[in-house]
Amino acid sequence: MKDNRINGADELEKELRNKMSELSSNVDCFEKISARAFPETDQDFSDSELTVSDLENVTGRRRAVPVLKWVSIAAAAVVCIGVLPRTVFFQEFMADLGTDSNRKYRDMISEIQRETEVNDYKVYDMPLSEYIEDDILISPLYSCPFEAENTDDINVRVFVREIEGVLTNQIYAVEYTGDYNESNFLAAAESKAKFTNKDIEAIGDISTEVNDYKAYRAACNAFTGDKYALLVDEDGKRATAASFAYVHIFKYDDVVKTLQTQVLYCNYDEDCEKYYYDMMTSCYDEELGGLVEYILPEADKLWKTSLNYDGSDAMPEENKSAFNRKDFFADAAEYEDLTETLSWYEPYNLADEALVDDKVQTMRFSENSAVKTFKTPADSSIKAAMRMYEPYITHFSYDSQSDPTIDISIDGRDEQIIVHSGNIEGDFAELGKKTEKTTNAAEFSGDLFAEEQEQMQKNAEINRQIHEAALKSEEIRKQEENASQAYEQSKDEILIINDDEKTSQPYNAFIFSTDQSFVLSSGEQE
Amino acid sequence: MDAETKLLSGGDGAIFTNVLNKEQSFSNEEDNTVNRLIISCRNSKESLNTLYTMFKDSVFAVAFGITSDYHLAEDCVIETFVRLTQVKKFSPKKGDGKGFILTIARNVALELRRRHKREVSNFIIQSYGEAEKTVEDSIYINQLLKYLNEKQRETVILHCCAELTFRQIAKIMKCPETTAKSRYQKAISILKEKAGEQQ
Repeated sequence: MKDNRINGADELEKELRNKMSELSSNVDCFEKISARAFPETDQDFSDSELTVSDLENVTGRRRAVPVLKWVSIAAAAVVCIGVLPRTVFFQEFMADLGTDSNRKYRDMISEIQRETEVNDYKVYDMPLSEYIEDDILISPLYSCPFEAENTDDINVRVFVREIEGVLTNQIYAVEYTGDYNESNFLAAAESKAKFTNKDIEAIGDISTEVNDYKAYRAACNAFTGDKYALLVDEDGKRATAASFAYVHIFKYDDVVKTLQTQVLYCNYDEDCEKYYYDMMTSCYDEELGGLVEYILPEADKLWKTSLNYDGSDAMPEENKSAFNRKDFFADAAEYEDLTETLSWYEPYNLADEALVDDKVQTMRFSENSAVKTFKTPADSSIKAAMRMYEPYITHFSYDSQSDPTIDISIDGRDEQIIVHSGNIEGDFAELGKKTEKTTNAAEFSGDLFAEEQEQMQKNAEINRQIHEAALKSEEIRKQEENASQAYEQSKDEILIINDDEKTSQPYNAFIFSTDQSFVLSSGEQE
Repeated sequence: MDAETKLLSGGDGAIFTNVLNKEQSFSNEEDNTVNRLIISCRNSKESLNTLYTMFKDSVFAVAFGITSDYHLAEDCVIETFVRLTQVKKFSPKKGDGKGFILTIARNVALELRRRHKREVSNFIIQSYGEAEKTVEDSIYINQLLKYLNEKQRETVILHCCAELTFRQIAKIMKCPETTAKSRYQKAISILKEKAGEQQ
């Protein structure tokens, strides 16, 4: 069918709406409806207070007004207020409102396109399901502004503005399907923070040096090593923990500040999909001459709006992140005298440059035949400075021939990061390095002071003790592994003999009776 | 803003933006009226008449979108409003009145279509209304929508003609909101493509 008037989605929709409206205007079937719904019913349509019954009321007493009368009055009011305007100008009114919502969405899209062309933006592109689950790793201050139950083939592109290479809290997000082009956009969101030229001029010099110290101390307070030299929390649950820190420029209520945010996060071996995190933000106080804690505004006050394609609200009612807040930083005062029993390494500092991209990656660790997974921050700079924590004795159990490796999964391909003993940081890690250097110096110069000799001996003794402890825990771990393997093997050879149905079968080593007692025997039994 | 030297309090907080504006408050008021009318229409012809006047067009559109037949769609309208007077379980406080009515309309249309054994792909109108305009409009709409599958057709009708949000559509069609959105997007792009080819 040829119709030269159809040109664009709005016109299509309008044409369809008009035609359908014309068609439905021919429908007039209320009589049939009422005949079926109210058969043989004589309704009282009177809106007058005086009825025949009232006129015949010789006592003069007014009868109670029938309920139906009030319903009729209410219905008449509804018709006058709600229906007549609808048929006269309501359609135009709603059309205007609809256009207005749609316009807000279109304006937002235009702003995103303009902003990302003119200013510097860091761009993160990922499946929507990933942004919903891993929001803390992508935009730590913002949760995903879109909702979805079925996220197949739905992606999100997040734009974070940078000023002089520093991330800000001016952020946009676009939900789309298929390829990234406007015809495939489903929804868009924008932050309240928008940086003007005046804001940028007022920022001044920005120091990008990060300080992870609070995160490290919080990690030492929350985690320690068990007898197998594995990381556990205060309840003895095995965990994997990491932290990252970054500097960012933050605008709220027309005030701009340069902030430092440290994030400590972990997951547990029993459920690698669920994460726990805490965040601490600080800023430089000129009066005090140091960093002070900065309380961020509530998260729901940071997004300005999230709109669907049709202008309706797209902001989710529920946060479905895999990250749950936990008070790692809450008791800072309690761990002033804390012994720092953890070491750390920066895996992406050791990795090939090609591995350091702007996507959330999944690390895989093998431990006691089990594989654990752990996700990384998306941003490449933040990823490079990310710290993985472990008990200080862990790395001493490895020799240089068997440095542990971390497997990384990136876009389906497998990569590896090797962590050498020399890459470990932390107080105890430093001891090993000092001993090595001191020994070399003594051998080279042949001339040491007595105090230095004594210190060297002490360090060597500590080192020996640490090494022994590490070897011991490694032995225990191997014993447990062997026991586990033996058990697995024995299961293959077990024949279950039922007390009621004894059968003559050959058996090898172990028999389970029905009361679950364990009997070691051999030969045949009837 | 002041920087305070006190501990950062932890805790999860759902992030959402409550965009309450004039059109939403108006819409909430309208919803309450519709809900009250649904309750009262069991016994009140006036309430039923009001609902009929308010929703006849949307109900017809939904029914036509499914049956593709003017007379069947008209029967759906009658059946929908009759059934509305027989509803027993509807909460005026929690229910979405418009969505409720259109869900009934959809179910009735699907039933009638099944009963009359009309196939989705068959757009031939088997009985015509007396007015030529009715026939012309019916054919026009069917031709416009013939390149869409059943779900896409329904989604387009519910959004364009019944003016439902994707959230409401998702509830009526029992699918995720994103599916409703992407179906609609796909349908519009098909229509635009076909309209462009035919020019």
